[in-house]
Amino acid sequence: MKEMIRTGIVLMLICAVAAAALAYTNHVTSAIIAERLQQEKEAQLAELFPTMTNFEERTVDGRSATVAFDAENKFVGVLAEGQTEGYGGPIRFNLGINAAGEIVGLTVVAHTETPGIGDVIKETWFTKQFLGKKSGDTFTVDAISGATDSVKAMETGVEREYNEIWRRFSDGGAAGAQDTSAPAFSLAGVADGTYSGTASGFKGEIALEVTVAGGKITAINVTAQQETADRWADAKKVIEEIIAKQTVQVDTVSGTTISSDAIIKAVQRNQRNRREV
Amino acid sequence: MSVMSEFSKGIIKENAVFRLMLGLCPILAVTTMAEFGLGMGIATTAVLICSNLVISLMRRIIPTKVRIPSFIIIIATFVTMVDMLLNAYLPALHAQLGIFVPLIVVNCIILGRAEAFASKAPVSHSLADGLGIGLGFTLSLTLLASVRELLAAGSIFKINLLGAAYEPFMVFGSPPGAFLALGLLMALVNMLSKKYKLE
Repeated sequence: MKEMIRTGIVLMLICAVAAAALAYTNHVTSAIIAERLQQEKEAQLAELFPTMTNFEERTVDGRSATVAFDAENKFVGVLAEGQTEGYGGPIRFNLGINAAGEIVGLTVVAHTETPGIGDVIKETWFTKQFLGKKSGDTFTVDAISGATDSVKAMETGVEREYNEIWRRFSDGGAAGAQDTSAPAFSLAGVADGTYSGTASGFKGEIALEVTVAGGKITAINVTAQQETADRWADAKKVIEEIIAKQTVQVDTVSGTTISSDAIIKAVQRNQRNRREV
Repeated sequence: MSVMSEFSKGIIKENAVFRLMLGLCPILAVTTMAEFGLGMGIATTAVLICSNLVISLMRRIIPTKVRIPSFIIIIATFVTMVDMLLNAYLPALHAQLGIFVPLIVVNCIILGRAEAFASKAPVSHSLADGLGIGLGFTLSLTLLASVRELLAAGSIFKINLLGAAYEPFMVFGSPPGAFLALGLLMALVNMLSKKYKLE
């Protein structure tokens, strides 16, 4: 019995140390990896849509895609992932469509087709055949002897996914656009007093009370929150900024984005509540 | 045995690839180009040294009954760390080695050294052993990959040596070619070490 407990404790300690080491390595590397992926995506988009200056992830009807815009904020194209059932399993590919609805890019990301036979579908000379196709075109390409199933899978898959993506994103995925414009924040005409507001934070509801005196926020009192303790201490700097600047257009604190955002939203909302009163 | 001989035995006498014939799966898969062989060898060596060090340090703490799970946890931790670090700092190599980096966890060289050596030997000897076996493994992988790259593409480390007129020996780029090249190299290493009494 004693030996069993000792064994268990040693194993548990080894696991705990291993988990801590991994968490730390992940903490160090994840930002670098994320940044690189972002850069790769940017390079990929810039190649597909030369006039692109910025892009945004949007989700319409349960499908997400990267939507690219030019300098005048006009929709120039969309890049989304599609999938089809190949001969050896699912084939995943990236499909780029420009604003005219033409396919401008097709890359196979992952597949399990037979090496040397079905895997031609990933070659550039094969995917190239789909470029320029648009709504209403036939999505047939040259058949390849021995690889009929793989080629057919790509034909039907690309056509189906093209239609699914284009149906949702032909307008730039406007339905999935995030409302980033914050309502104007003004305390003019707000009677002195204490108002309350809430917003969901990282771990739960954040409730706070805002004291207004002479058209100014004089104090913000948090009445309830369950955020991570050390992150919350940082996020609270947002409160000081809101009071100092008398606006909700303040910077969030890195590492506490969700908590900071929640504070800002809560202050914003209670201002809206006041209007209704 | 002295620390020095623990180190040097891994290079020829107990070479993991040509003598012990351990860890052959990743060998056959990644040795298509010299740089991948070198990269895989260095990644494995890093894990081997770290795991040998930690397991040797903990050899009196780890209960015998659960030593294998403990070794695997320690090895898997280092492999995952190497995987993350490669992904962050050497993305090209990471993309090429792909699945074979996480698979270092089940590379029998590492578990083999943990079980047969590091769990019974002092820290200095374990470190020397890890370094030696790792170096031997890296050299073997680089050698095998160079031979395959030379035959299949006419180059070593992407530097073209045989000129444009060379008709590539494609089979050496594929898995059967890996077996052939490995067998031939093994014979050569055996012959040379016998001739020059490297035993």
